[in-house]
Amino acid sequence: MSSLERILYVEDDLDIQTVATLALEVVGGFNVKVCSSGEQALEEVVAFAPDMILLDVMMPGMDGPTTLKALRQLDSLDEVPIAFMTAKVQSHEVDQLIKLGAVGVITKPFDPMALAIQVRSLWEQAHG
Amino acid sequence: MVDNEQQQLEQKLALLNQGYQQNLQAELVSLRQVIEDLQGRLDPTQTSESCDTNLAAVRTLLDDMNRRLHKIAGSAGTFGWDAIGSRARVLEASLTPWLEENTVEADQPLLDMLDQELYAMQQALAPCDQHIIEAFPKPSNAHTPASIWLIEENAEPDKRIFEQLTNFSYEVKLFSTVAEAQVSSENTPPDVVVVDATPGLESLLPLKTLGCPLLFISDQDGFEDRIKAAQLNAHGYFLKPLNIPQLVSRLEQLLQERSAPPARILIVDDDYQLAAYYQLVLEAARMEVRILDHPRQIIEELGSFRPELLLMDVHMPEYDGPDLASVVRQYDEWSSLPIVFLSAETDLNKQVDALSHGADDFLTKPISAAQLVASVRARVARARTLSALLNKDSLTGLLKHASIKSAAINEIARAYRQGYPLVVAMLDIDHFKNVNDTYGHAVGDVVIASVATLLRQRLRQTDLIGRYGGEEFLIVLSHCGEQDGWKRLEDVRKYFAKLRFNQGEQEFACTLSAGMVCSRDATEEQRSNLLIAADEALYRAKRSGRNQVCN
Repeated sequence: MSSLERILYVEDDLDIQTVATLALEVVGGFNVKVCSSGEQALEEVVAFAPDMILLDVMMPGMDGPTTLKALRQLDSLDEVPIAFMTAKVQSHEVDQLIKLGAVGVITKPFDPMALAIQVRSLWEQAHG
Repeated sequence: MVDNEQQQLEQKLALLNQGYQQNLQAELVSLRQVIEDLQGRLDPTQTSESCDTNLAAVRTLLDDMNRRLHKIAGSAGTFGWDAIGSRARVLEASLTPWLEENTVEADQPLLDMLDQELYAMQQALAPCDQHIIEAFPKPSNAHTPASIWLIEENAEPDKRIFEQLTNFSYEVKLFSTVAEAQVSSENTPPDVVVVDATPGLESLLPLKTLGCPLLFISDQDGFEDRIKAAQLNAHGYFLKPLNIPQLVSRLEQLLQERSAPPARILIVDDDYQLAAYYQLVLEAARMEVRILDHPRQIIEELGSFRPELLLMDVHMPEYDGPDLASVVRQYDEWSSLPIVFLSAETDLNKQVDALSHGADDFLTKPISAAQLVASVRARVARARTLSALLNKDSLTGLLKHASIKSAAINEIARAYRQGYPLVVAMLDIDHFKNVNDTYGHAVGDVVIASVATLLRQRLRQTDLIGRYGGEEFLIVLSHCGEQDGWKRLEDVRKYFAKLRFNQGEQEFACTLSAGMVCSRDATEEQRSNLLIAADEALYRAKRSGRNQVCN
C-alpha cells in the first residue's frame, strides 16, 4: 500500500474546480490532476496513475456513475478508491452512490478548509 | 499546515469568492430571464407555436433551470454563500415534481415563487443594490378606503348609486367605457369593479384581466346571462332596480377577504426540502407558514403559533401522521383545527385510517403550486366562516348578544382600571316593526345588515360593536370622550337616514335613534352600570321624537 499523493479530480464546474484544486493542493499537499469531463478522465487516468479519484455526479455527457463504471473496467485501477462529490444529499441518493462501489460521498457545498481532511479520511477508510 | 500557507490560501479563496460572486450574480439574472421566457410560454396568446412544441420547450427550460440550480446548491456554500445555496436547493427540489411527473404542468404560482426566490437570492448576494429593490412592488395597504369603480357603458351615469356608495365611505370612480377603466387600472387597480351589464356582456371581456372581483348589474335575469357573467368571473349579479344595501353587503364580504389577516399554516413533514417548498409556495400567496420538524413539540407549537390549518405528511419515520392527528384531537382547543394530509395516491387504506383519526382531507402528491394554494385557502376560509358562526351574528357579522355584553363589561372594567374615558351607546332602528310588516322580513334583514355595515365603516377597528337584540345594537367606543362619541354616533345616524332601501319598485328610508353615556361624565349611579345608563338615554331619544342621538 502506498500513500495518498496523486488525486484525479473530475468536475465540470470551473468555479468549483478552482477552489477544490486549491484546497487539495495547498491544504492537503496533494498532486491534483483536473479533468472537466468523464471522457477526459478516461483518457488521462492511466497515464496519471492516481492514488484516488474524485468524481462529480452531475456532469453533461458522461455523468459520475457512468464514469465510475467505465473506470472500473480498467485493470490498473482495481485498487484505486473512488469517491463521489455531489449536491444531492438525501440519504437514499447517497446510498445508491455507495452501492455503485464508491468509497464514500463528499457532499457539496464543501468547506475548502476541510476538504483535504475529508478526502484523506475516505482514503484511509478504503485502505483500513 | 503552516500559518503562512493558511493565510495565503485564505487570500486566494477571498479572490475566488469575488469572482464567484460576480458569476453567480450574472447567473441569477440569466435565470430570471428564463422565468420571463417561461411566463410568456404559459400565456397561450403570446406564443405562435403549437401546444406540444410549447410544452416541450417549457420542459427543456425547466430542465435547464433545475440543472443550474443544482449547481448553485452545490457550490454557493463553498464560497461562503450558505443561505443562497440552501435557497437554490429548495428551488431545485421544488422543480423535481414537474420534471418527474409528465402530467403536472408548470403554472403561474410556481413561476412567481421561483422569481421571488431568485430575486431574494440576488438581494442576499448584493444587499445594497437599491436599484433592484425599487423594481419590486410594495404590498398594497389594506387600511386605505376601498376603491370601487363603477362602469356604465352607453348608459346615463347613475348618480344615485354613486352617492349611496360614497355614503358608505367607499372611494368611488365613474367610468363610461371599459377601455377607459382598463387604461386607468394600469396605474392604480381598483379593489372591486361594479359594472352595468345591460348593454350586453360581450364588450365586458377585457374586464377579466383587471384581476379584481367583478359585480354585475343588469335588467336581464335569464340563465344564459348569468352563465355568461359566471364565465367572466362575476362575483355577484344584481338585478335592476338595484338594491344598494344588498350590493354593499356583497362588497363588504369581498373587501373583508381582501383585508383579512394572512392565513397561518403549520407544516409537519420530515422531508425538510419538500416542506420548505410548500412554505415558499404558500408564503408567495401571502400566507404565514411555519415548519415543524420535531413532531414531539406539536402541541407547544400549536399553542405558540396558533395555526388555522395543519398540513401534515402521512408517512413520517418516527411518528405516523394519523397518530399525530389523534394526539392533536385529544386537546379540546384543537378539536376543530383543520388537518390536511399530504400523501401519495396509492395510500388508500392509509387515507381511510387517517380520516378515522381526525383528519379532514387529503391532498395527493405531487401537487401543483396552484392546487396547493387553492386547497389551503379554501379550507382556511371555511374554517374562518365556521368560527365566525360560533361567535358572530349571522346576519350582521357583529358579535352576538352574549359575546358583546361580556366584551363590553370587560372593556368598561379596563377603562376604569386604567383611567381612560369610553362611551357606551345603544342604537335602535326606528319603527322597525313597520318595515317588517310592510316590506317583509327579508327586506327587514337588509336594513339591519346595513346598520351593521355602516357601524363597521364609520367606527374604528378597536371599537366594540354587537347586535344586542333584534334591531338593537350595543357599541363601546374606547378612549373616547363625550363630544367625540356624540359626533361619531351622529355621523352614523345622518348617513343611515340618507340610505335608500327598496322592495321591488318601492323605495323607502329608515332612521335610527341612539342613547349614549360617557364614563367620564357619568353620575356615580350611572358609573356602576353604563349599559343601563345608555339604554335610558336611548329611551329618551325615542321619546323625544326618534332619529336623534341623546346623551
